[in-house]
Amino acid sequence: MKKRLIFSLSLLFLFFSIGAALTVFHTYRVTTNLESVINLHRIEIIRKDLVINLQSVQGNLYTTGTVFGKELDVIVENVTALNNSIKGCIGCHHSEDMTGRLLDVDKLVEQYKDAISYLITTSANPERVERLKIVAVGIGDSLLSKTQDMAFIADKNLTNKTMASIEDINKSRLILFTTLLITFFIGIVIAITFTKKTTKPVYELVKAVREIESGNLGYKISYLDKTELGELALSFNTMALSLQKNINKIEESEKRYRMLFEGAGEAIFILEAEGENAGRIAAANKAAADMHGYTVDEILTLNIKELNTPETASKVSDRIKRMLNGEQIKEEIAHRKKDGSVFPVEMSAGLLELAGHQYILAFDRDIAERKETEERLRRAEQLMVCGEVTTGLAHEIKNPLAGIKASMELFSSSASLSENERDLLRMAVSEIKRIETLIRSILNFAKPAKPQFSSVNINEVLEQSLTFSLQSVSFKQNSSTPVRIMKDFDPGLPEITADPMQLHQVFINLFINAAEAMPGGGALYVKTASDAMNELVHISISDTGGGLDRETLDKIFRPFFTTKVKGTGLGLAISKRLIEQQGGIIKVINNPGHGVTFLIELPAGKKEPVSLS
Amino acid sequence: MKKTVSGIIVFLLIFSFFPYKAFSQKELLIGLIPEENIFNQMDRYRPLAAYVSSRLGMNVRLTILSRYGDIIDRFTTRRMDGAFFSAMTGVLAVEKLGVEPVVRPVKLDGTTSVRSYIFVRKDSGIKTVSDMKDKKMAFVDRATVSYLFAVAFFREKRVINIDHYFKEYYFTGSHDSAIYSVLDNRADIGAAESKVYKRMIEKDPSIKDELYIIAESGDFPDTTLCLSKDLPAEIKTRIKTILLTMDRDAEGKEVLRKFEASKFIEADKKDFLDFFDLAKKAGINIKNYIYK
Amino acid sequence: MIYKCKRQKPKLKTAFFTLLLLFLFICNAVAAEKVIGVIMTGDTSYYSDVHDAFMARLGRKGYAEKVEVFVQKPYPDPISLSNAARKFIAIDVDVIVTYGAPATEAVLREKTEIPTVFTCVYEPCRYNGLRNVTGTCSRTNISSLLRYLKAITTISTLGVIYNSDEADSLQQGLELNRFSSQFGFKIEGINLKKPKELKQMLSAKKMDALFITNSTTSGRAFSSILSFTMENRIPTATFFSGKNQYATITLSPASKEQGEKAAEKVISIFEGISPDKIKVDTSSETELVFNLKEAKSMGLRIPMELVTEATKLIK
Repeated sequence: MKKRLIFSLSLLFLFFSIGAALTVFHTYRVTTNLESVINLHRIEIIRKDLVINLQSVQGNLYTTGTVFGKELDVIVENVTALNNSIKGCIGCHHSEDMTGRLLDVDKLVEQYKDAISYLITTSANPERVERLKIVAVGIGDSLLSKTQDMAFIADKNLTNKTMASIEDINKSRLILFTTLLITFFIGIVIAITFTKKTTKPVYELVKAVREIESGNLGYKISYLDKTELGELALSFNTMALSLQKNINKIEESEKRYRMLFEGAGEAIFILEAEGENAGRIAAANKAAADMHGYTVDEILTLNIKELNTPETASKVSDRIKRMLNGEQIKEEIAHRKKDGSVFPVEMSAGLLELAGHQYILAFDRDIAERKETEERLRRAEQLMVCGEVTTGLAHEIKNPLAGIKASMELFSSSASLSENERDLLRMAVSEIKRIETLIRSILNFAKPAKPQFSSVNINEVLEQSLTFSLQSVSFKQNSSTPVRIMKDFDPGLPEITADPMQLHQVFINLFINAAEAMPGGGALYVKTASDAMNELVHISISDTGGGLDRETLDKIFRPFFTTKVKGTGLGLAISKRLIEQQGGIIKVINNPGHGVTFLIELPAGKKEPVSLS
Repeated sequence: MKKTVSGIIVFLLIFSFFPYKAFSQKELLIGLIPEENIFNQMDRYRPLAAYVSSRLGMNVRLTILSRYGDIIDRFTTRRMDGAFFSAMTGVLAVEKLGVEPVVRPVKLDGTTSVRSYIFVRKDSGIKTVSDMKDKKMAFVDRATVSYLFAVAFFREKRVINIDHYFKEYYFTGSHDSAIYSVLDNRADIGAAESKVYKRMIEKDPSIKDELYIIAESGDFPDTTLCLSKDLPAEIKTRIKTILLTMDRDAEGKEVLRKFEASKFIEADKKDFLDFFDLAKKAGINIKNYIYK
Repeated sequence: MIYKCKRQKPKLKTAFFTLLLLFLFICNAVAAEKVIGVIMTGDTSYYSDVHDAFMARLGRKGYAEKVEVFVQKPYPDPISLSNAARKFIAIDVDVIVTYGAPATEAVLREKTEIPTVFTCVYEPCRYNGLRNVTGTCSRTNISSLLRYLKAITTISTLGVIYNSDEADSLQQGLELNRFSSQFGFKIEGINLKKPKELKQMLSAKKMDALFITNSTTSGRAFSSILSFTMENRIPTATFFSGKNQYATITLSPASKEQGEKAAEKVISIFEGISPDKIKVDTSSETELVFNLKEAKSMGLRIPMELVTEATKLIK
């Protein structure tokens, strides 16, 4: 910029200097020409004076001695003036020719003076006087002739020079005006260019500032050059970029924190810590609002006490005080939702100073689920323990049971038994078999077999499973209205990595359950589909049975939960476990019309199945 | 302001005591007898006139008097206040106009007077006045000392009437012409002023070898400033004082240098006494002398 | 009746003219009382002017009707001049008037009894003691001429054209030689006997000024001399002039005076006075002529004091 400024000013200065120089030059030329013309006119006047002088003297000489004659003083004065004029003329600058002529005239003047002197000083001898007069007059005539010639030449020269000077003056004037005009316009152009070049980046900067002020941090100044303004623009762009980055970072950070804040599963409250508004909710995230059944806007109007139960609300002030003293509090308290329902909350809070103001930052976690989960876990542990116990028991029982069954079977084959006895024994054996099945199921559920993975074509497994299932009692229980099998297999279904036996077990279990859900007949829909995007294979097994209620739907995969009279309640639990071992999921939904659909999703890729242990 | 006004009043009072007459005449007209080069003469006299003007408080204007003979008439007709007269014209002016001699310049060579010569060619064979009979004589002008001297000389030698003695005599009009006339044999005898004679010899020494001076006069006063009798005495005194004392200051000395004189000395009618004697010898009554 | 005489042809021609002259003489002798024979040395305008003055004077004195004047202008060599003299002697004129020394000497050599009146002779002393001869000397001061010449130019070498065969010219040359030390220059003599030798002789000499003595050859070559000097910017001085031609400075005796004096002497002789009793006089009137035109073309300035002495100025 500085360079541009210096350059522009230098250029301006240069043009103005050139203009000034030309102006001065032409002004000087014009004035010189005018001076020259004036001098020439002066010279012409002098020469004419010279001629007039000479003519006067000649006249005086002619008339001397007559009544018309002048005093000698006049003659002497005129001749002296003449002499001085000539000397003056010689003193001026003249051409060689003119100087030569003037010197000739000067010599003649000297002779003239001598002749006149002799004429004046000669007394007596009239012939001599007359002769002297003739000589003097003759010299005077020569002088006159020469001076008239010179005057004529000078006059001619004067006219020519005057014309030339006038022409020159006109030319100079034109050049002067043109120069002034050009210089003026060039000056304006330079000034405008410079101004533009200077103000444009400034405007750009101002515009950029405004854009950034308006929030358009991505705005970049397009003006870039090597000047300071260019650097400034570059710096500005960098600054804007940096600003944007920082703002983005801040925004991202804010967003992140906002996301964290908002996305946090925990309820986050920022409460006023001091004054009358102590406990007022200054900020709360969505989780906090959702947790309590409010909208964010609604919850921001509340005090934390309002979210507490009456019992916990009384302790709020105390807690705040403790926190103001620097204590970090972590307690399980009870909160109240908008609908009045109470739920347990684990609260973790501490003092937060922000912009010189004290707040309480509280993290509340809805621990109802955790509690439930803990309960479940506790129960699962219990179950596990129970399972282990049961497994142990089952093992312990199985063997004796096997023995018992064998004995009973043997005994039943005894001829000594009555039919009733035999029926009783058969019933006992049947019950023992049911117990064995149960024990097997329990064992199966408690310690499922490790899957043996291989590449499996689901459609084939389903076909095989259907074929096997159709042989089961469940499908044959109503021969008048058999269950219709409706298959919709995706021919392009990719092979998956799974344990085909376990899948068999699951499919068979589901087919049998479906058939058992349609004692009066119905339809069994089996469908496969590929979800290439998610790399999943979808299997849906639907029946047109009676469907399930909400409570049943929630518990259907619980072990030992059954709707069957004689069910163990472990089939679906085992199925769920087996599917989960393949890395898939199973869920159940009620169909819109009737019946339920079991949806199984299995990973299509060769992934390691999720271990449940 | 008060001081200025007072000064002016005092100045005017002082000048009011000066005789009114002194300032009634604003200009002095002084004549010059033309010398051989009137322009050079004017160049010589102008500084002198300017000097006197500045000291006198009056403008001194110079005027040239043409030919010797006219001076007396023109002195009167032009109402001159004075003139630098030559020897002859001076004595004529003193006699006819009553002018008063005031001062005379002392030339750089120390002389204040001139002489006259009568001369012939050496080879002319003329040695005495009797040899001059029926010869041709060249004079300068009737109104010159040399003419007067020649006439007086011839009268002394018993040539009473030169009209009949010489075959022919004429007036050349200038001293150098009279000398040239003899040199060129146009005249047998010549009479001219010593100043010019000497100057010509100085320029051309060969002239001395050809001419022979038969007679030489005594000294007669050269250029003399004579003032009109009508000029107030006080002005005459002041002019005299200025000229007599001008060699005492640097400016005056410079003016004198240009005038080709070392100083001025006092002049008097007595200086012309010899002239009257000469005139008497020549049988000329100066007062009635027709010089034209 | 005046007619020009031509260069001498073979004897037959001479005889013819002599007879013619005689015839005319006889014819005219009946009418005229006196006969004057005039011999001019060369055909110069100066001599013509002198003769005009001579004739005018005769006329004023009433001799216009009474005399018969025959003029001869022979070729300016001694033989032609002698022939001319003899002719007049032969026809027994009453007076022989000669212009210039060569003509005069030609007549005097014939030792005739006829009175001879010379004019335009520079140094007539040569004729002292000779009988029946008188005349007017045309001597003018060489020193004056030299003085004038010196006044217009610096002279260290003065060229002098003379003819050693002519007494006047030689005399002038010798006098110039005598003046050389007085005036401080050296003399470069040019003995011009034949006009055609002029250019060669002049070119061989280096001079600041040129003095042209009175000689027939210089008279005949006058125009060429002036052309040369003009070309070489050499100022000239002489005692005579040509026909409308003048040297830079000319100091000559007044032609009028010469002619008139000669006429006076002739009249005196006619009135019975013997030439021996008529004193030879010297011209007192001189003409000083400055050729200002020539001087100017040579870049010379003639001082005004000299210009004022001039009787004539050529512009």
